[in-house]
Amino acid sequence: MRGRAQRRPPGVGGRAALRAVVAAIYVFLFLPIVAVVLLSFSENISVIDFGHFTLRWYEHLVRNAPVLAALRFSIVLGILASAMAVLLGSLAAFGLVRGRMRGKAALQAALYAPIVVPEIIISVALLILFVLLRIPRGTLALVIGHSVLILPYVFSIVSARLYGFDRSLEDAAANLGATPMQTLREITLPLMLPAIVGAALIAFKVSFDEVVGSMFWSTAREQPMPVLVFSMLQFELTPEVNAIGTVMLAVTFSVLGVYQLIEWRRRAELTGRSAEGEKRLG
Amino acid sequence: MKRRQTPRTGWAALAPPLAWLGVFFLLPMIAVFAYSLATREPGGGIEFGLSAENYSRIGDSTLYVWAILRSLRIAVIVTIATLLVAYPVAYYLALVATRWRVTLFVLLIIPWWCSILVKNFAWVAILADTGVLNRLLLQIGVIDQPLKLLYNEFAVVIGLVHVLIPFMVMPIYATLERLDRRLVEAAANLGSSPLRACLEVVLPLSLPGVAAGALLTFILGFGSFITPALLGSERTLMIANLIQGQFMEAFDWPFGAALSMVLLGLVLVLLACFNRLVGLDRLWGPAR
Repeated sequence: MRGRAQRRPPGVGGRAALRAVVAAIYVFLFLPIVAVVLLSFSENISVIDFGHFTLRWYEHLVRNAPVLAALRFSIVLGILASAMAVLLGSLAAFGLVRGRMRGKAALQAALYAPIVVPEIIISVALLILFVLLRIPRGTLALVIGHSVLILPYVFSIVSARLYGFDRSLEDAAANLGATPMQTLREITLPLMLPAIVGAALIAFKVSFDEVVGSMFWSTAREQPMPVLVFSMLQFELTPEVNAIGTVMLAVTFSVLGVYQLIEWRRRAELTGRSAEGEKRLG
Repeated sequence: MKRRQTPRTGWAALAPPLAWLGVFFLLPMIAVFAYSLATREPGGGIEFGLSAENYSRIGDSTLYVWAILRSLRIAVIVTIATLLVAYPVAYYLALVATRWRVTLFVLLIIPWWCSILVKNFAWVAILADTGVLNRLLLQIGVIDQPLKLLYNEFAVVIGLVHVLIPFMVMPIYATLERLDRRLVEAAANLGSSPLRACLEVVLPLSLPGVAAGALLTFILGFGSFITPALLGSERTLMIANLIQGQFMEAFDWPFGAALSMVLLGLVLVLLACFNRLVGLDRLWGPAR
């Protein structure tokens, strides 16, 4: 069957057309982003007559105190919010994956709810709650709000890894007389660490790019970078914004790069370990 | 082997995150509902009550009715356009690509992770009167007046489709990848053309993924705030922009809360329908 299907490749022309369509869609996806990065190094504002290469916009940037303050604030906020979300999201994942209880599907839906409810609604709803509870806008409000928005990401990553967790190691520790706390500390947490660090990185990234909620929960003095950029864009598109955008992309991709490195190392270790095991068995 | 975990440890671990979401997610939703039934006092305070006045004000005002209808229209157009663009990509990734599969997958994730602000304002440089596209068209002489491409519904749709493509590709890819390829081969062996095999075998089997992608795209498009604010104009404001206006500019929070409840209600109805027809766990995988 398989041989026959391969001998008669269905529709070579159709396949070429499909390839062209897919290529065009990828161009559509990348063109705007590449344009922003190129423009940030261009003397001219237009991509077509791309002027001389310049670092002028970045020089403007490092002298722009509000932008630097917002960048710093975003990084601190991202760290605080992702720490909170990692703690809560990992607990939720452990509880749901390991616990035996009814209504797991409903509990899971509740934990994912913050990503299916439109952001604008969570934004105004939390703003109302902050007013009712007399929590002022600013750092505390932002940490709380971001932790709610990024919790589902942490939960998703940690629970996925827990489902694939090989529990024979825990059983071995228990058989050798370890208490449940010892097993958790010595076996489970070290093995889960890459997933938890990965979840923290993704959580940081989502917090770092958050706009809508941050607009509602911040003040002019405690303002994350995307809110500042959004208000700059309301007025006009200056070349400096391209440089800020490129910096934001750079932060995002360094964070994701570290995440990817951890993933590769873990996979390499896994394959290395199984290869070693096979050698020993063989 | 007997595991030591009992139901109680599960609940003990779940209690803090559930309490957190209870206070900072569920309670705020209830607060919005309470606000939507409240009235504003002349002094600027809020009087809680059970008044439907805010909701009837939405119905009475053509501005708001039109904005809700416009949001629905834009969300429908964006969902259809995104589906048309995303399906070939998902199909290619899942069923055709071999050598380039991983690379193409990574290339799909990169723009997905880029800041929505950057993705949106990039279109300003492309679609503006003196932007890349107009200059190109002027230079090759297709047009002699720059086209009005920015600050209208067209720009909003383009910006949203650009942002939402990966949300549509991923669920469709997930269903296509699990599809039994022998069915396609069987259709080919029985003499159906590749296009017919795709339309009659692959497409129906991928419908749950299409539904999941369409649901995500529609919800995100319908409630979008940033894209209409950056690429649209006063005449293309969507419901989220009106909500923001009530909270940050008009300071009529009860009215803004009523608008939020309309948006939330529509989203919840959609989610309930999806849960009935396909199952919510299609969005995030089953709980085991």
